[in-house]
Amino acid sequence: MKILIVDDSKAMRMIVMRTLRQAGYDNHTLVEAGNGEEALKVLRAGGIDVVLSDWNMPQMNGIQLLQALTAEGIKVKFGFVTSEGTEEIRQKAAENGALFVVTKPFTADAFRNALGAL
Amino acid sequence: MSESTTLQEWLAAMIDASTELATVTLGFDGVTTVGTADDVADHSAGAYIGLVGETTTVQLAMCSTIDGCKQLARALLGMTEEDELADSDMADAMGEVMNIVAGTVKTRMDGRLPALKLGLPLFVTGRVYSVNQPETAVLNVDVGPIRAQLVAFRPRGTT
Repeated sequence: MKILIVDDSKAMRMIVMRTLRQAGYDNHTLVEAGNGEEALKVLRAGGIDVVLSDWNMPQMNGIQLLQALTAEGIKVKFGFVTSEGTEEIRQKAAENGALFVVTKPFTADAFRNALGAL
Repeated sequence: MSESTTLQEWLAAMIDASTELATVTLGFDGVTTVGTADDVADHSAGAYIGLVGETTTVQLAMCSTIDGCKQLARALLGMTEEDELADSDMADAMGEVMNIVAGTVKTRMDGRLPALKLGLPLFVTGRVYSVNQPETAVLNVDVGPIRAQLVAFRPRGTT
């Protein structure tokens, strides 16, 4: 499986990758993007199975990325990894087609549960 | 409909949020409150983030010395003291610490302040001076072994 991690924080991308390895995804290919625009370029090229995206990012945020993918007809499994865990955020994510929301701080179990259900 | 809040309530939410971060991600036992302070300490550095609601604008921050910020960043990144840590990575990691804390605070306050919007974090070295003398509350805390300050401030007259 090829997983794209989208976050404007290099530190958080490192933490997500470390936690994915702890969750048993060490044999999968992990790709990084620093914001929604970068991610969109990667996704247009194809080959990504799952997107793990932050919500709040400069340039293009996570929900704008998800909406852009829908508008362009790019089909990919999409979940949010965000510090925002309010019901409003979860509802908006689901309405736009996100499959899960993992809230920070997260554990390896949170990724196992989210990705294992795909 | 938004309720009024006190800065002490924001600090209490920050204690809960930083305790969750400390235990789940940083590998520490928790956060201990040492006492209150009148203001942010001199020679400090820290990450700031804004929360803006219908009737409330509040800035939240976690501050420490540069050395304390490096220790917090290393803990977040799973690095040892021997691992090299660039200043930009320290700032990025401290911003993420504050982003996680503020996100958890926002979730905890959501029932009372449903329209809160979370900003992007900013890392600052030195003290932040505001010309309009905001209402400020500061707690001295130990995040695991690291002395830090939790800060909440907002324009006077907002609730």
